[in-house]
Amino acid sequence: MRCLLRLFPREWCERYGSEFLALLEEEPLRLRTVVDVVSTACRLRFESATNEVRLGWLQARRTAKGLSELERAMCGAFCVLGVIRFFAMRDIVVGVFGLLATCAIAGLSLLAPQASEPDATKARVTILIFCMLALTVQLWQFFESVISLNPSKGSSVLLGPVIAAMISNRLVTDQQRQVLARLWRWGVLAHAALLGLGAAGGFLPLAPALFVAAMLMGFAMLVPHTSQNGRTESRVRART
Amino acid sequence: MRLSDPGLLILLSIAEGPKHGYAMLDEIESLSGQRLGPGTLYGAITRLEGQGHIAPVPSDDRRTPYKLTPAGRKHLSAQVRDMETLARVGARRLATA
Repeated sequence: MRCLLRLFPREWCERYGSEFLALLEEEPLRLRTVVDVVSTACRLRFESATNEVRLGWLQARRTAKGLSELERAMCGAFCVLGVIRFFAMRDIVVGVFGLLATCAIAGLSLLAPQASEPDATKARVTILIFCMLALTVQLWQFFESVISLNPSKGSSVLLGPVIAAMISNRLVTDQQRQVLARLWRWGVLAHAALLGLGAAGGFLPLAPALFVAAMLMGFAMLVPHTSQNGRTESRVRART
Repeated sequence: MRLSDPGLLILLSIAEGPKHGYAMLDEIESLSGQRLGPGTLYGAITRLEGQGHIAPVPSDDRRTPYKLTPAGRKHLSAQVRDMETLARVGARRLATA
């Protein structure tokens, strides 16, 4: 009986768990009862999830106000880039993962609460997980482009970690930010090498522009963010 | 408005006084001839409590009784009136057919 209770949302269990368990113990255990309990648990989970999305959207609107114009433009561009890649790439599997990862990062950057809010730890963990997911996909595409000697395929891959790092600049600690920055620098170096290979091959008209864009974004990432969450201010205070 | 609507059946079952989950199931079975599953019952209780139609009665027992709130009583009255109107119209049309 207790294992059935685990199917329900946590908040629901805290409120109704004890009395619901008491009722289940009085009812004879039949397949019909189990199906009824499981279907209700699924429905409540779904309702809870949709409620989370609704709350997330409200929070996104609040958080979006705190983003700079540049960040908002980056997020939008990143989403568009993901969609273009999805339709342009022949490899549908990579395209789907790329799209999911890019949209997840861009979306989460809006959904994630500010670091100064009480549930900041949870937000940091969430955004870092998605950063890692995006990074994995981007690196996968990067290596694929190296193997196929097709830089146009990999020319936009560096935007992923760069944007992720930029966005998480306001959510992660300084130490974590440095790791992301280091990853970006290695990425740019590798990308430059790739461009050289591509140029030798005589293709990729767009790659240099993308390279410059990635580099500019990376510089933006390295600049401390003067956000409202007080991180920069606290660093300044610590120094003085 | 359906007679098989668990929410309506719960409101009807506690119209005379507070009842806990198991007593509600028995009452609903005697009222409608169908026994609700525990999940269906608590899914409906969650919704009704969220809407402010029912409220828990403090109890030392694990089995928490629920009572109708004034808003719940008003909602139930409206539902019963609708059913009466529907039954009257239905009976009239059947008589003239």
